[in-house]
Amino acid sequence: MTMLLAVRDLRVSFPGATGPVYPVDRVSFELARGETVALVGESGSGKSLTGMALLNLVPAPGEVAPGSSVSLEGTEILKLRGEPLRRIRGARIGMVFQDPLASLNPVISVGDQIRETIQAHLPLGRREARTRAEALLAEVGLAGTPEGYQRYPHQLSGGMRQRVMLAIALAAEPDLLIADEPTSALDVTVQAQILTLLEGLRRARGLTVLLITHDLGIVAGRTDRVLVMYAGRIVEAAPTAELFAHPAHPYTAGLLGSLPRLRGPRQPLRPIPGQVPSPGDWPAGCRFHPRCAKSFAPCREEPPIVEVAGGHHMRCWLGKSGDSA
Amino acid sequence: MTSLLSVRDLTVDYRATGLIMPRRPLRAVDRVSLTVSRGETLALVGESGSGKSTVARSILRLQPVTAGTVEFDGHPVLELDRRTLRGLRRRMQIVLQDPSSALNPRMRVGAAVAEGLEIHRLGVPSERPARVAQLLGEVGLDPALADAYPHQLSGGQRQRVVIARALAVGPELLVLDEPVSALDVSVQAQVLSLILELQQRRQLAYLLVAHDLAVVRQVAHRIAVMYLGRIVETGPTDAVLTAPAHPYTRMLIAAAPDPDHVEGRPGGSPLRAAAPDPDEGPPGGSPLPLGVSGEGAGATRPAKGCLFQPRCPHPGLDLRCASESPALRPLGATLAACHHADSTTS
Repeated sequence: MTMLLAVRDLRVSFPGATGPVYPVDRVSFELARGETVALVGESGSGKSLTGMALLNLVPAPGEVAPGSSVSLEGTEILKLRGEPLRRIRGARIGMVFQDPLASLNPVISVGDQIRETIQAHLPLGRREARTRAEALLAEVGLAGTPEGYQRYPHQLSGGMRQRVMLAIALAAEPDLLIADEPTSALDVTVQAQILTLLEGLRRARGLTVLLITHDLGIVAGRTDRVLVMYAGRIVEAAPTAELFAHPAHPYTAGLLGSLPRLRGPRQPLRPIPGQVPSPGDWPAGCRFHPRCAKSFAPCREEPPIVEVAGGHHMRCWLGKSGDSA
Repeated sequence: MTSLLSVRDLTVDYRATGLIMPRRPLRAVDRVSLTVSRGETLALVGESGSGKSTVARSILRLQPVTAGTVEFDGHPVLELDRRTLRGLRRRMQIVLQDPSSALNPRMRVGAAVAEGLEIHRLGVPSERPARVAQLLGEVGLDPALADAYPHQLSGGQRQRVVIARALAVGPELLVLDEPVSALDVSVQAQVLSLILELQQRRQLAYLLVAHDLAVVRQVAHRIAVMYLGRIVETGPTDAVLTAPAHPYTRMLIAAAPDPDHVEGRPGGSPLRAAAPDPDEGPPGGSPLPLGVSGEGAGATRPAKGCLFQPRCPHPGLDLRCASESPALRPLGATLAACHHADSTTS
């Protein structure tokens, strides 16, 4: 597989009371073409900021720290400004967010919003772009008719709006789609439909997908690899089936133990004690160690990255002895 | 055992005011009946627009009711005058989804927990700090947090404060409206464990309003599934989740995210069947879990017949479904409101 995106030492800084804090702190990962990768974490883990930083969209006063690198097939995104950056956003990398209503213009028909995006990136006339917009509406499962084109966001249900967002994100035929909690505001039956649509689009278009989510449940069976974030860092990365079957990092194991199950024998939940620390309060060494049942003396030092199995890495002192908890 | 809470034929209409003509009222809750006993948890499950929260609020008289009765320990809640109602409110408390909006940001935690004691004139004022400390301890918080303000706490800690505040007045029934859905998974598990522990210690009755079936399975004894204002299926938790009779219950279960679904993605899911749907379907024959289609909140509400019929994947769908509203009837180990549920085996 060829590599599409390489992220190296990505760091996002925000001014804090006593100097800068780093809610995303030296995050590195790669996305191969055609892969679906989940970036999973709880609130405050830095997962959404990571997604924004990939497109240099970190909201002020935050900024991407010097030394960070995001390379899209050799193009250093973080060095781009103006028109070249705008061309990457949309034309190479599309994004969808949790709340489609916040991203859609309420007074422009959904068809025109898709058409405008097409015309902003592709050299097409109004008529051609409109035809393409109707085809996109049909591709995301909406009515690709003049009536469907003329609908306004308030006339659509939450799931239909998220379909429109997908159509806009795909309008300029990007290679990579970043989906940040795309189904978190939706009912479960609608969530299942949107995730299925996403998978269909990925397959039909050969998309690479980065799915940012707090919900481990939607990751299983729907992604190739999982990156688990805790306190600004990726603490574990593994093929999806491997991660769920053999979670190595105590945080990942804790998350899975905290998750109520709908199937299988009913077991008492095993919560992780304590709270996720905020960026100013991250402990030295392993940031999870104050909550970790397996912590021992070395955990006060920066943990190494160890390979647990092929393609399965974690940032933990337990090394290869750290079986699933 | 007699029920602590007994709701019969509860009906709630929302009067929508049109700009020019008065619109037809929207029936948010339609003849809902349920019971909850001491020490028992009944979960009201459904998607947005199902009316589950409206039922919960109606029971506490936080919501005007169109018809029906609510009995709490023999008292007709909907007919009580203000004074008697206030006495009863002490015995039934509510915990809402968002703990930040439930707490006054300018009130210290200790004062917030003591407020109920003052309103209901419970105990001696001089003993309240000790009582507050004890309550904070009971919900797993450091009593020193009594001096903190809500913004200094995490989401999980705030939800514990809200629970302590509800417990302060010694309720027998707690209405829990999505109590953990705003919390992170690791914290959610802590609060769920607390909820279970408190029930055992205090023999509390819970009416749990929730959308997450996995959460419900963890804490509820019985489940009532709601769709567009009606209970469409009800029964013991395990029966509803392992042998659901109603097509909507089956759809909900099929759509629920499943962390144990670990087969590799390219292999696809075994739980899938195609579901054609002209307006809301997937593109080009993509597989969907077990005929999942349509949306509850935005769903068309048929004027008659079964409310679920426009989304129903059941192969036996017929004229009767379009004309006659199905009543709850015994189907296997549950009660379900479906004309055809017994004619399929899953």
